[in-house]
Amino acid sequence: MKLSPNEQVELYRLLVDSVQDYAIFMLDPSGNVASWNRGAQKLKGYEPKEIIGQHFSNFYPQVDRDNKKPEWELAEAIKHGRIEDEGWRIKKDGSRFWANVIITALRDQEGELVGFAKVTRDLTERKGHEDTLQLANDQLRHQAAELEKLNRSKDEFISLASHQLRTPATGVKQFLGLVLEGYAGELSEQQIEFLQKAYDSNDRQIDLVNSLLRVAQVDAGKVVLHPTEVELGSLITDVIEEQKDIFTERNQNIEVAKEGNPTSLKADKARLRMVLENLIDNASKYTPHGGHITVSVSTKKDTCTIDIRDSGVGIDKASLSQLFTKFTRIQNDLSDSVGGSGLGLYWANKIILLHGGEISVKSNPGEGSTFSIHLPCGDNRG
Amino acid sequence: MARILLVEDEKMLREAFTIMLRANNYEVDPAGNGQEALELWKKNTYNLVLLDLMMPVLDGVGFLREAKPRTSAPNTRIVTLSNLSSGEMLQAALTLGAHRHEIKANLAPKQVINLVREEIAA
Repeated sequence: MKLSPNEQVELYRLLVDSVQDYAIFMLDPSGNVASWNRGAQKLKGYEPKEIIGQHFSNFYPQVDRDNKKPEWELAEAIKHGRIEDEGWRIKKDGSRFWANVIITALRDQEGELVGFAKVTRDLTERKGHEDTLQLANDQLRHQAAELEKLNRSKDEFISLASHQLRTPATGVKQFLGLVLEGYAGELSEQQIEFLQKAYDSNDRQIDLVNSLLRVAQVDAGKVVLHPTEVELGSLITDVIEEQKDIFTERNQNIEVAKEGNPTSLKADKARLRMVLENLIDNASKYTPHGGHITVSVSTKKDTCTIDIRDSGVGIDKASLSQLFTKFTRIQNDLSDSVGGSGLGLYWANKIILLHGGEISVKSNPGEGSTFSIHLPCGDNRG
Repeated sequence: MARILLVEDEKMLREAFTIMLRANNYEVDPAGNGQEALELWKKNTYNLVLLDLMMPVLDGVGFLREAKPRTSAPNTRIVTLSNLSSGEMLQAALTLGAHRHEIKANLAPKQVINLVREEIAA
């Protein structure tokens, strides 16, 4: 079907006029409204006869009119060919809507400005959603900041409380120690027994406070590692030597299986030592009298592994996933007689993670457990 | 008789340490903070200083900074005895002349005495 130029113009007029979701209208070069479609009427509320000939700045809020925004937009459209903007616009009834506006400068064949085409869309609903989202976002950000503050106060509280709790417990330890060591005269066997219980109980309290303090520090991100070259074999030997009285008392056999060559890596020696003390002490605590514990070191590619294997009570599958959670104490045949805060493994795991390593566990009830510390070593060590 | 300057702000601990040290035939000058310790330090010569770190008036690091033990008494052993296990204060004390650090909550009286014997013999 071939249309005459007049028919084509009429078709375009019909097309533009029938669009209801967009206000499409023309402005003359001064910015006065020159045409008005049904979409414009629906969106802004003016009949064509009310608005044609009026300046388009009528659609802008007073503040934009004062700032000469309408004139600026026309100037920009002349300069760049078109301008796109979003902002509040005013309807005939004075209500406002959030508009997306495109103004295009129209020129004749000689390049002479003949006016502007203006297409406006109502985005009030989208703007509303965006504002709601923004508000929710701001609220979340505010809540996160509050939580962060609260968390910091909690960490500071634990740290302060731990210092304050440790001081009187240290006093109790010294005075009970003085009595137990005979500084206040001779004691009967029963007096020694009772005092020793009080002394041990106080020591457990000190341990608990120490653990709380350590956990508070690691949770607050305040742990700064001081890595030095550490030879694992001698570190393990030192830890075992320090705890040998406990193994003797429990009649446990502890063995160190080392590789031929010394294994060295970069680590915070004091903290790695505490992690080892913790895992070796756990192995001993959860192994019945007369049991075996083996500590071995191996290297595979860039990872050094310390395995602490015991012949103890073992851990069931359900409890394995809970092991490194704060305040977790696994229930088994020995747990009643074994003291502990449920913080040791949590802290140890965090420290090894800070070194770029990890702790893994293999265990079955009745078949003992193997705790493995994997640490980066060699050229790619962390 | 070896002479010890004992610097500890907690009265109960100051008392306990004084009792055990005197019972082991050491001469003990107890001080409740770094300032009191500094006055005693200027008047006397010590074989050993047992120094708490966190104290009011003048803390352990402040005492070391003022006393300058490395130059004023190079033969005196300095052991910090605090419940701090790490941190800037501890590092500063070691830099300013402390020879050794022990966590006092971990020490039983016999361990305190062993420590004192080792340090005085050093």
